[in-house]
Amino acid sequence: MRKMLKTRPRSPLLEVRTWEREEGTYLVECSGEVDIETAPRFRAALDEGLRPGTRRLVLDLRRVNFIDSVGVGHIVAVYKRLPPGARLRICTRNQHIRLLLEIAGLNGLSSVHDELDDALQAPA
Amino acid sequence: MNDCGVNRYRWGRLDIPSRPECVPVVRHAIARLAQQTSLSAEERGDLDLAVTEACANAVRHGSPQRERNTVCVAYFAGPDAVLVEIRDQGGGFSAAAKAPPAAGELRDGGYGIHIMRQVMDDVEIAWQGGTVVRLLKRRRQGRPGAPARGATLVAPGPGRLPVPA
Repeated sequence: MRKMLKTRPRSPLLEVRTWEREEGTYLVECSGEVDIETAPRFRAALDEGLRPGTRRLVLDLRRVNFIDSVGVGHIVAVYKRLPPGARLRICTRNQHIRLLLEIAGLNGLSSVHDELDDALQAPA
Repeated sequence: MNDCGVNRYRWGRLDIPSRPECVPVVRHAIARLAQQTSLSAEERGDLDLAVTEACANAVRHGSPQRERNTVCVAYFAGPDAVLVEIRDQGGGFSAAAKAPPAAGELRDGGYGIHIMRQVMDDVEIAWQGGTVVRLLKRRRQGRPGAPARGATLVAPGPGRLPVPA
């Protein structure tokens, strides 16, 4: 049994948008899969939340069913570029995503919440 | 006729062009294969993650001629375990790439191998005219003394990340 893919696979598997939920709070909503294929769009969406006035960047990953080290690496990179005093909040119940965040060094894992309301209401 | 159990085993090979968009194709193929085993959902998730990391490494670092290179994925699945071999045409990993992140280190990449070792039962990396990564995942349930992974690694619940300086 040997197969060779000759055709281009299906389109990207990630839907993502960034919007200002309230003043200074940017929400990145994602659904689907984040990997080497979709990571550039994920990164672009994260970057959109990095504004001079950003006080809180919230990643809603509740509908993300897969993420790899490339995607988590982008979260780390954005975290490092947050404006001084700004906070990163992540919303996910996925244990694999939580594990990767810990491996990446984002432990305290903490600013990880099960519910979006908790992430939004956490102090900036 | 004796049932030697051969129908309980599946194997095959999938060759992909070294392109990012082919990585999820491999992941989904291996996921479908794993669904036919007794691996739990968490164990199948571990396998998905490790296969994706290995394939992404092959595409990013193991393909000197980029899309003209091929990544070969061979798989063998029994009732209680799945073995996946990912073979590229690169020159191998550096020792630094194999090193786990230091405690407290905040890295934005370079821990794919570390992840594979965290989630798989066995990871073998060799150089045979290209890098060969072999990933083994066994069914945990029913194995005496096998600890559950993740329970001590991650404590879910609200908390706080360090604030950037």
